[in-house]
Amino acid sequence: MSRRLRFAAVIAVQLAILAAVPARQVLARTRGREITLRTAPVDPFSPFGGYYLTLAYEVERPVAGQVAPGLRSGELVYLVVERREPAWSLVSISRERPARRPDRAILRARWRGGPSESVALEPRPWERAPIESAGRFYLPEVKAKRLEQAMADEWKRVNEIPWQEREAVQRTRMLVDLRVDDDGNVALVRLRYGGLAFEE
Amino acid sequence: MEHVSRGFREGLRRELPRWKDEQLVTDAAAAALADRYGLSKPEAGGPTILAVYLLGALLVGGGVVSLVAWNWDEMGRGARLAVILVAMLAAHAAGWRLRDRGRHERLGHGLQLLGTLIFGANIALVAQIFHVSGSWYGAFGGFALGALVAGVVLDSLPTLLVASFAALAVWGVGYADDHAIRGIVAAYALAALFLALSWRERSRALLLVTAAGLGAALFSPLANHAQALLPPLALGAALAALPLVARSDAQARLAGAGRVGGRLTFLFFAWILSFSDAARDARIEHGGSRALLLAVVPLALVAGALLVAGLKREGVDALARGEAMLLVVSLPALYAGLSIESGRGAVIVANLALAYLGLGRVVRGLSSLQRGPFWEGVLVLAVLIVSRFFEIEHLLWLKGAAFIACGAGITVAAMAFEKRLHRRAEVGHE
Repeated sequence: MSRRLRFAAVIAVQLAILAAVPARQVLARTRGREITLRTAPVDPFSPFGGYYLTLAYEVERPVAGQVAPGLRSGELVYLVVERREPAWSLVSISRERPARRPDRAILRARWRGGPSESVALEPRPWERAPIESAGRFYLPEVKAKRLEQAMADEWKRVNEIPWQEREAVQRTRMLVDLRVDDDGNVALVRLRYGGLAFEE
Repeated sequence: MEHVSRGFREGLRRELPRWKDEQLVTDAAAAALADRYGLSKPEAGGPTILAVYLLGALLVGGGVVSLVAWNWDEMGRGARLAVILVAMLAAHAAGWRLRDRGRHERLGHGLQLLGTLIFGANIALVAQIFHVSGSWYGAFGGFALGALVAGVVLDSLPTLLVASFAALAVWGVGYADDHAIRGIVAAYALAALFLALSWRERSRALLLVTAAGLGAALFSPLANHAQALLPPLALGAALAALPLVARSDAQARLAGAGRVGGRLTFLFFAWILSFSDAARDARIEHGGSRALLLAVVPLALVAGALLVAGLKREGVDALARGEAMLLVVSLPALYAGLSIESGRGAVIVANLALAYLGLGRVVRGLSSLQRGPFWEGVLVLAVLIVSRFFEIEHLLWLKGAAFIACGAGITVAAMAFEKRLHRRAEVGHE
């Protein structure tokens, strides 16, 4: 192989790898539809790889009866969510990809939990099914600071509310809009927090 | 032309004219020396220059990664991607151009490495733009693949070194931590690939980086148990047995580097296992887990096979053979020792192995009158003795006496050894 050809081959391989990194997101973006999920920041900011918010979606945590029995940790699963206001909610977590329905969407995820059949009856608090490649929302530095300030203000405000009403207030404070295709691929589109909206 | 170090040639270039002026050598002898050591040929910028270029490439690459992490607010995403793709292509193209013209070979290597590092930064940027998230090591897998292709196709050893590190020490460690069995198998496959490349390149650095990466990847899935000490011990034994099968000079150089790396690895991990508490924590029950067996047995078999092959051969350095034999035979003894109650057997084996290794290095130093092996052996023995006395919680007078004896012993040994070296130098002058 000539040196010129070898050089071209290396560039082609490296560009192909770069193109493969966001392939699922591009598919979801081009052929998917938009849904909204409720989320909470669990590990606010990190300088590694830029400013980002680590997200934990409400639909990733099943309640009794929503999980197919006998799932193994690390297994690919599909979350079925259906339209609700202000955010879509979890219907079930299954191994097989369910048939498409207009009022529902499916999301690819990995089961992180125990293998026992009892999971289906009573999932433990640490058991969840994180949606694949939807765990981080990257933000530029300035926007990250603005969000951080908004969260700090909200925290002060919530602390002044009687504790019985707090949960309802907190549940609606952070929403994420995603595009989802029929194969369950997702792409993050927008993060909403109170009156602020951060487009990707 | 005889192969000597760059420093030796530079010294000779400097001294030879003076020797001629002072009539220490004749013109004919000076010409013969210049011819023998190739003094008329220009030096191609030594490894120091290459190291500087590579350091520069790493710093620039690190800077690019930081810029990506900063997440430029002022530029659109398309512009950011364009800038960083152009930077990657430019670095690759400049490196290729310099090497293609046969000038500034080392700078060309540095730029090609920079191109691949920027490729790594691009992976982070693309992940940032599309909010791609997943396991922390995933991006390093993609980077290692791109670097491997670049290293092989462009024949760039620095890029291969980075690829080996990213593949085994980063991706391999993360993957094996998440998927023990599959991770161990993947680590072996990657190590085989990079070891083959280190042979093709005749590169000791690539051999050692790959071996260290394999050790880390095999350690990782067992890291919650003290049994994780066993895979590095088996790896150390396998590396130490390499000189037994080396045939050519090139093989001997590679095997020699492997032997040093293997011995040091074995020394360190056997030292940890020489403590009773560590051995108790590392106790093996029911023969050991599948992951432990998979991480230890193949390496032990390779070490055993190398030893058997070396036992039949003539012309193998007796001390290298003895060292390899000691390390390889220690492996089943350590495994068996950890399988019995409280792991006490392994403590005894580890201590004996360390003592024999230390003595072996002292003997090598004395027989060849080399400071390196002598002091290595003395250090091993001193650390071993001090470590054992640290474990004694009572009889403080004995602990104190041992430290004093150890310190005095080292001083006396140093004086005797230096005296012997001095005497040999005097005999040489007579």
